[in-house]
Amino acid sequence: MAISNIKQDELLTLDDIVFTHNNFDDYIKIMGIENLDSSSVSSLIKFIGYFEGWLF
Amino acid sequence: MKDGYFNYNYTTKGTGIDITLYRPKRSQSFLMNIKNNILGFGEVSFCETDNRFVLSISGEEDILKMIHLLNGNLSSLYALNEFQTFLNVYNERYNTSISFKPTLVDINLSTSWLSGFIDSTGFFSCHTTIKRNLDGVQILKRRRNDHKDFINEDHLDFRDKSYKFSIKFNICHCDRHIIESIRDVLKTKKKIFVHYNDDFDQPSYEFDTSSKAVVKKIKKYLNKPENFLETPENIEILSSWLNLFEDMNMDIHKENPQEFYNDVKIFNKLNKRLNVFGEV
Repeated sequence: MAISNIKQDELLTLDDIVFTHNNFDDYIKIMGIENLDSSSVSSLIKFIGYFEGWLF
Repeated sequence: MKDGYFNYNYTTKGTGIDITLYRPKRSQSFLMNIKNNILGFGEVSFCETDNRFVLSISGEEDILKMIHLLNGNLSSLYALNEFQTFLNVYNERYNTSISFKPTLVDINLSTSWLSGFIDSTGFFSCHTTIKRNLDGVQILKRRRNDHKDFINEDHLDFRDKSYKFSIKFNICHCDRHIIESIRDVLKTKKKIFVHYNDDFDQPSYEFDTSSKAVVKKIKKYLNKPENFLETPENIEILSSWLNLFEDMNMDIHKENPQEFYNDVKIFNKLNKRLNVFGEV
């Protein structure tokens, strides 16, 4: 999630900065949405963690 | 038995591809939550041959969503390699040219990736070691994730000061990169050991620690609301483990091995339950 997409009233935390390491731009485009809020990004990153664990 | 698959079926009519995630019966609502509230696509159904529920993602459009979700956002080398092969098959099947992003995202304690990974693998376990110092140190029993062969307490004399009891927190996985990354994130310099098991076609890697600081760090991470464990089989077990480990006062146990052993029995009970849950 790009920093510019974080709502102004959301407090920037280290978590937000870490989100910039993840690439969701193409996912946002294909889903037809403008951006993802931090809660959705957190859920998706958690799902990726699940997914990678289940592959073993 | 693994739970997640990239599938490709080559037939005379073409290549059929999909992604399937299997979970035990009790996790149906968990899969439904992923489908309805996290992904917003996929189908959950019951697979009678496996006696498990399965979340299937199929069709060009939904698989494309998964590809863009995973591409550039993976943290394990194993998953990255599996994904690259899958992406190549997808590009060929649907005549697309989506570029593979080969970078791995660093594991850290600032996102929920690790909690999801912990929840899906349940790979934390405990070593309990009982030693007796006679003519040197003799290891009587070293237990890991196995309850039934644990030393018979009837044979232990807790008044005998030559016995030494210890417990270690253990992390094990078959992706060395993952284990090294988690070790580094937890800021411990423990050596990583390699284990070979005839039941698996690849070695596993592990490190263990008795550091309360490390356990405290893990507990603090998992106590954040966004990092709560969600699979029914892990919530109670892992949180109980962490609480027990953190609360154990080793100084007291040195003076009172009976109390230590009582805690060990609780650990083993939890280990046994984890093993049961591990079977589908």
